[in-house]
Amino acid sequence: MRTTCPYCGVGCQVEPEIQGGRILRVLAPDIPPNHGALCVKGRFGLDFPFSGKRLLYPMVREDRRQAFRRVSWDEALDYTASKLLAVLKRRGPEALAVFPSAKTTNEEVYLTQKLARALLFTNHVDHCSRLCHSSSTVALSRSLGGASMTNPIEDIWKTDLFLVVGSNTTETHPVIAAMIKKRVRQGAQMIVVDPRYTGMAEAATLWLRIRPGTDLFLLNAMARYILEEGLWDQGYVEERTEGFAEWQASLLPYTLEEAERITSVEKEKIALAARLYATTERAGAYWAMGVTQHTKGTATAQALVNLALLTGNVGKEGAGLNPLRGQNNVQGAGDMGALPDVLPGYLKVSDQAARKRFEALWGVELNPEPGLRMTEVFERIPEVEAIYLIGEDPVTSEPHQDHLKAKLEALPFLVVQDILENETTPFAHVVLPAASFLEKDGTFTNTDRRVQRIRKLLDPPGEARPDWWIVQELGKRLAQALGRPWTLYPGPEAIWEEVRRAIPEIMGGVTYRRLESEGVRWPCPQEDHPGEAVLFRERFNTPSGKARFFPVHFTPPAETPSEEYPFTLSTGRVLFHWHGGTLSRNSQLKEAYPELKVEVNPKDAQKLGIGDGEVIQVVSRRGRIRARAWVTDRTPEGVVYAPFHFAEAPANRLTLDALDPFSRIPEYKVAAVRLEKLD
Amino acid sequence: MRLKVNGHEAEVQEGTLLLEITDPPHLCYHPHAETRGLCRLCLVEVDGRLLPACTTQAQEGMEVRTDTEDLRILRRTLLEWLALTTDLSQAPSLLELLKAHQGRPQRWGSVSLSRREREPIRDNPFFLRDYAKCVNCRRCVDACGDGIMGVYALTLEGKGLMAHPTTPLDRPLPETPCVFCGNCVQVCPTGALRPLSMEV
Amino acid sequence: MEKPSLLPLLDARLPLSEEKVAEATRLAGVPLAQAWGVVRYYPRYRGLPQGRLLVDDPVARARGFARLLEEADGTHPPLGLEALSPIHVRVEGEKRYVEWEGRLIPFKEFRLPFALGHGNRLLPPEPILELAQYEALGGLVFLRRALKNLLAPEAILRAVEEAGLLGRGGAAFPAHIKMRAVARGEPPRYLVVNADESEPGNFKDRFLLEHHPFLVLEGTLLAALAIGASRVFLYVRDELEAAMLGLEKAIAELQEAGLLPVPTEVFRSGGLYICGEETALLESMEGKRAEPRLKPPFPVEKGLWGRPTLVQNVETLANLPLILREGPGTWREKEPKLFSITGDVARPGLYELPLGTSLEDALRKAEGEPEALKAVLLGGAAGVFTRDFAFPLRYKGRLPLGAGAIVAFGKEVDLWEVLLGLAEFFREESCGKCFPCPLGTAVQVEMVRRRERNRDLVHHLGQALKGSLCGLGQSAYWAYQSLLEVEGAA
Repeated sequence: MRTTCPYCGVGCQVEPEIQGGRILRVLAPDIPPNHGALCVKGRFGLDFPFSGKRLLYPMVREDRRQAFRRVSWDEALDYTASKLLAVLKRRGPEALAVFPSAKTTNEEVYLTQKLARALLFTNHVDHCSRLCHSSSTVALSRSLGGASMTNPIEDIWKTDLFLVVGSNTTETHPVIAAMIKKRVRQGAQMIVVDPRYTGMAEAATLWLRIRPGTDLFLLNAMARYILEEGLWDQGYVEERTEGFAEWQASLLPYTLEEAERITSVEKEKIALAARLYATTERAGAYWAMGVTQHTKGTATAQALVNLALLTGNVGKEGAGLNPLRGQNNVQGAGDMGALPDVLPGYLKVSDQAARKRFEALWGVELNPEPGLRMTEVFERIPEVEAIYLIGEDPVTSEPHQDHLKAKLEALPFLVVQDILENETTPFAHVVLPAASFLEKDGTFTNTDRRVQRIRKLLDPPGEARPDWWIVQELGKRLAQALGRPWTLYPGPEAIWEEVRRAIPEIMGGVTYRRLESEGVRWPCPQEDHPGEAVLFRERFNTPSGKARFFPVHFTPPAETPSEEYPFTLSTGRVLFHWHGGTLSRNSQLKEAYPELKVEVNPKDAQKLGIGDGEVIQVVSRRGRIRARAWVTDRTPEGVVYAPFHFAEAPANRLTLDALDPFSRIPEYKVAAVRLEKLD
Repeated sequence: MRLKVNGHEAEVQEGTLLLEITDPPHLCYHPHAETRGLCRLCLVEVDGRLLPACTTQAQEGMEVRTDTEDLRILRRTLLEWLALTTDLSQAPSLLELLKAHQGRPQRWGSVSLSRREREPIRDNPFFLRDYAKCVNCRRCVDACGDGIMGVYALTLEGKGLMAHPTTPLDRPLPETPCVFCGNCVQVCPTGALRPLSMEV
Repeated sequence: MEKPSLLPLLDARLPLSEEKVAEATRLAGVPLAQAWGVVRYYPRYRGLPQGRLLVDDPVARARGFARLLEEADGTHPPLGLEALSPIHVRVEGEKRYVEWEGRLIPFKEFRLPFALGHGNRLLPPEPILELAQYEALGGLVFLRRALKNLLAPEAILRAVEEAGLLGRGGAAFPAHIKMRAVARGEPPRYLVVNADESEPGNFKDRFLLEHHPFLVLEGTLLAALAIGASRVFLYVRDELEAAMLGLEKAIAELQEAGLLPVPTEVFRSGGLYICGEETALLESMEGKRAEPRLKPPFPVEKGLWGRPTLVQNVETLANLPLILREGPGTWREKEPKLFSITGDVARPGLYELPLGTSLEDALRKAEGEPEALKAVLLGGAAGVFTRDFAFPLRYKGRLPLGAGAIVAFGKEVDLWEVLLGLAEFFREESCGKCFPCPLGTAVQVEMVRRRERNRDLVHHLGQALKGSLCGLGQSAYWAYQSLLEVEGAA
């Protein structure tokens, strides 16, 4: 039976063949978005639901010093409800936070944020996007009025120039990378901006090996050069944008010469890249964490937005601004309102009309104050007293791990709802076992806004239950105690019907019946609407209908190499693993990539006498980890690269919790470290 | 545009492949790969010439025959030869075709060159490369390279009947650019590439 | 060309190591997978068989092959030495020698004895290895005219058309149609001379290349000017080292004399029979395994590196100066064709005969007695056994002429042994790209070995091979089928 791959945001359609309690093989049907192709995770990594580490029973403990007790669902839910209600009563909604999971379905995210807002009166609702594309979201929202890829995946086949910035696409979105690479083999050009010699750099027609954290300077210099050379799209800028003059003036310091000095990319190459991007009719920008995970992540994403507007590359086929989303349903989680400042459909919490709509729908009054963002919530412990955490492992994924652990230690009440044990489970008071993607129905929304079905192929193991059921049951108890309305649904489709009613302008036409054959892309207001492929063809989703330039300026990273910590650490992912590793390291994938490898440039390795495969220590101001050195010129001199999937050697013990002022994203891509040999 | 298929008039769109409007057996063709015209099982007679239905576009006035005595002999013989030289035990659809064509591989006697003796290669955690079952349709090589992935972890060794897929420098897959996407496994029509999870 | 071609880069690094392969791969800008596929395909990269090798041609097969083989370390594919057969070559590392008249002569010095040539129009009465000599004998007149714009491209095309020149490589396709098709294409356009003569029993191109390089080059350059080619490649069979050196020297002399209007170079072939198939040839030039392409598109539209390309046989091009000199009408009256006649005839050699000459007359020219023969193999391995001595040797007749090989077999010859040689040749040379050819040629060897005469089975073999992708497989059963016919007639 067909379902959707639970790993990255490409949303590949898969057909797992299950027999005798295991997956025999996984095939992919010939439909969008993947048309039969898969990567190793979808092909061989779907067996985590069969892992021996599944959470099978609800567990509770009153105190962290105690061991967990296996309890019934009723007891677990009653206990959780009573604790949450007690905090609410004693400290008010500001002391509660709810984190829906971008790995769960749209229906589940919707229900979870509804629980937070309608029952607990809190807007402290956020999800992992805070750690990945929140910077893009800020920039795209304020400039264009929408935060998603503007163009569909299949536009790759119409694109003649790819500008890929800070995306290791071949490892993080392999199926999209394969399409882009094939398009390049067909004759398209590809400019790749990355300090590392990634698979994309290898396939590029022009690779700009940039110094980490200087992308913004490069992008602004490209814009300045395009203006100087008169290569910009004057008609487009006049007709469809605003704020141009002020922005143009802000570009003064970004000369090619200065850009070369800051970014270490030859100015001729920068000029060439600018010329190609400006003069190719269909030029699409693609980016990921290399842009966003900086203290100037929002500014860098904004620089890309500005560049695309200057060249008229938004609102047409084969072009656009395309942030590649990391989690299977991170697009959907945002769409469903798993954010502190917006309700489902990106309607602002602070906007009275928006609140009115949901107050009418849910029959409650809503909190008008935008909530705290995830990174801020953790900082606010112990004023924040209770967190309901679903499908997330912040101990592995948040920066500056030791600091976070201390915070979690101080948290009075933590509910962890997940399918597998992870590094955060030991901090929980209540553990609620959830069903995996193979064990429930629902929808995920992929990176290009395609709503796609997942289907129940198996019963959950033990007493595990689908997240929507757990949330609904918890909500029932809260609602009873608070005397608020709370609808009980027979299943995910009924929940989806409420979503359609809540945000008809984008989801009204998306029905389960339509999703039977293949996914439908939003916005899709009516059932006979095909779903919008390219956004902003006519107008932007801003009050004026125009896109806005925002001046942005380069600032150095929060931490720069010093004598004591002479290397720049950059963190990220590898092909065989995914995020905190909870899923991939409980699958067959672990055999292909069992332990952490840190990339070290051969010249640095030689200076320090480090051999390939040698176990070394990586040390930052915040901690140290052990790792095997992979001596390779994939990484430039002075830069070490560490994937963050490995709980036993967590790269995030090293990273710092410096945040972007707008998106509050941590600076995962730049930290100062030194390498030590073991003696 | 109009053409005749087995004597019957047909109306099709310009550019339609004959494979889309006729139904000859086929093996190397795969919508996700660029392998075409190799297995020759889908040959049809077009105005008296033998052409692969998977590479030939319909043209105005064409006369196509898909099931002449000569074509039946050709298909039957090819299937028999495949069964003679290759282990088709994991290719049920080919065995069915062979049966449907009343194939009797043994009528050709034995062949000293055979693919059947090849040992399976187990060099990675995910799938088996069992070239005793490989008919050398090249779908895997194409899926890995030009067709889908652009990874180029597979190429071909040798020539003639014994040619078969291999890795660059004949290295174990983990020492090649292989990314274990398994798209090669998906397109393999004979089970020569199959997930280890299917092994008992 | 878009990239440096892989094969010359590998050749420059023989013998190969993994490091050298990797280096050539980098310089060619191709994936290692492609290079490895190439290295594991062509004989000289896999490692040539070493030692004293019997040249395994139809004549050797007719002379007691098993006994001959006892005195050799192995066999070597046919080399165009049928007139001297049985003959041995010696391979030591990368060095190769012909064993001739008790001496070891390096390939790069060995030319077919000139006395093997018999003719007067295409085959001048003496070898012409110097420019001055060629000119003194009336050569270069038309090339000079063309260079002075006194002979327009269209005039050359028209002469070829009026002459009705058919391709001499075996397919007998009208030369002017291909030339005009390329001339109409978008530049850059290329001309590739197919000098990869490998059909057993044939040595006409070898003879022309070795003894008349200027004739070949003048014809080539006239064609290049006619189609507006921007580059010319002579794709010469790997083993013809003397021919390659001679051509390179002749090209240099023409260049020196200001008579080389188009950059021209020699390309060493991949060293396989299939390399002579025009699209496989182009694949090998592009640094890939020499495997035939699906057609269409034809090389005249998408040839070398996707450009319009004229691929033309040596003998075909060598006829151009002659057509212009004699005038198409006169040329056409007695259209000269080169026949390689060997086997059981008293004077084996290369004979220039007008098309239409009967097989009997051709044999008698070489002092053969049709009455004393069991059969003739006409056309080569991709040919037929026949006893139709009255057959007029011309294209598009009942029997395939191929490139003009005639191998005569006396009454005592075991034709099944000769056929087995051909069958093994096809099995060894099948590239393996399509299905019928590698399967069918392997099955055919077993059938011939057991002297299978079941008509149905042989018919089915033929029906399946007919479905092959290229001419190699499509013709691989002709000799078998014809032998049964000859046996039936006898």
